[in-house]
Amino acid sequence: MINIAIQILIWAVGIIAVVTVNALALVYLERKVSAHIQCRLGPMQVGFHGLLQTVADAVKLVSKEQIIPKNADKVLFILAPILAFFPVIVLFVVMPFAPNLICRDLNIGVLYVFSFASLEVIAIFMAGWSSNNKYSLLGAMRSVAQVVSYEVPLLLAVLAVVLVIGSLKMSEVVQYQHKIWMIFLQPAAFLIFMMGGLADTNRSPFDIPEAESELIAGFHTEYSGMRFALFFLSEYSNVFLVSCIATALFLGGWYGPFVNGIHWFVIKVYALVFVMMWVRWTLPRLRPDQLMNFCWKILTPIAILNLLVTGVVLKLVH
Amino acid sequence: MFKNIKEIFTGAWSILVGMFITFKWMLKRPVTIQYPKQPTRPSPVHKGRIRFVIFPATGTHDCIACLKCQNICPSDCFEIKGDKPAEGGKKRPNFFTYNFSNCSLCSLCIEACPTKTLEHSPEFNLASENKDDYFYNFLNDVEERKKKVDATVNR
Ligand code: SF4
Ligand code: SF4
Repeated sequence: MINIAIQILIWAVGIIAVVTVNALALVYLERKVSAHIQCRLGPMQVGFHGLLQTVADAVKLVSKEQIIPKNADKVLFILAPILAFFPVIVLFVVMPFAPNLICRDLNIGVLYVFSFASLEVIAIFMAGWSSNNKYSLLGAMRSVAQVVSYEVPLLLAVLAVVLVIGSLKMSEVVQYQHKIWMIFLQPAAFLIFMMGGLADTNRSPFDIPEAESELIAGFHTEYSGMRFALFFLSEYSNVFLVSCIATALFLGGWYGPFVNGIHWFVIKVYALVFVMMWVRWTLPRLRPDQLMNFCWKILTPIAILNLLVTGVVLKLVH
Repeated sequence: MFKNIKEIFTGAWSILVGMFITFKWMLKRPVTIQYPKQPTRPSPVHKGRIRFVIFPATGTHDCIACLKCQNICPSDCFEIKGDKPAEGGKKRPNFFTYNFSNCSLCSLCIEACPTKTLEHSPEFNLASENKDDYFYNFLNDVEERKKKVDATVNR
């Protein structure tokens, strides 16, 4: 009993530490990648090559005043950033970092991941609704419209993977790929998953809920200080988590050439994160109707087709 | 149907091309620099404040206090007094101020000067908290520049 309590405590502290440090690292990485793609230097002043810039930003955000708009719905306004951050922590619980490094290896791991990942949109809608600001509300409504569009092909793509593996347990999903990575068996599913992942994390080209040039900051326009930081933290942690899930489902998790282990997992995750940043600084934003068209008319049929073909092939093989 | 499928493939291809281009640019050297720490040179056609030319032949300026620049200046920047020297020869200025805070950098004075002794300086970091810093006494300025053989910015 006491053992389990200590274990849970260690995991909780570890997860929160990883989330924070990782978000700081990702913000730094994002700024450097964007800078170099645009032929700039990026942050250079604070620490060696600006390494401490994000720490300085975090300190600034913590010390800022927390403003609640006069006509905002106070309870929802305060709860929204907490609810946005909650799935992040919860999702880390089933991430298979290494053979012995899974907090809880639930036997419905994959289902658990995607059910908690969709909580994010509720937090976004709460934030947009409670801010009592037209930009926030527009951003929140776009977010909901986006979520119903991309979740269908995303889940269909994951379903095909689960069909092949025959298990929802994260560790078994990874162990299945010790010979051949899932990306080679299900390339279409991987592409659909990554596009859905980009939409899930509200990143360009699917960043229509927070489209800076149209909606200021979308759903978190009215947030300041630590509450804004929580949204920011959860956004970057979501990028990390989507890459983690993609690594576990498609890229063979901790398996790699030479020595298997957590280092392969981390390398793959950061490579995917880099690709997501690279895409963000290459492509312009889609219009909301283009996104709906793309998700419903292109991704969903391909995902269904992929599922059908997978099912038929599996039936023939067995 | 086939048109749509073709469109999807050309679209996907254009995305790949775009990603390749951004990656190529990412590996290039940044064009920006760490400005206050890293010295920079202004562009060769940079038009800074007005100053006297120092002619290498005479080692000084060649102003004859004709007041043409003062008369043509639309912003009334110059204040010039000059006299014929007692020992004879050309008229020389004995008081010559220029107010940079009024100057519109229109270059009319440079074009008007008969002895071609005015030019734009290449200096660019002239910000100051004090308005008086923008009153340049050209006679003092020339003396100072003659002393300072600075190869980097103020030559
Ligand atoms: S550049 Fe134009 S405004 Fe400036 S001093 Fe010369 S004539 Fe006057
Ligand atoms: S126009 Fe030239 S020569 Fe005449 S006063 Fe001005 S600077 Fe001197």
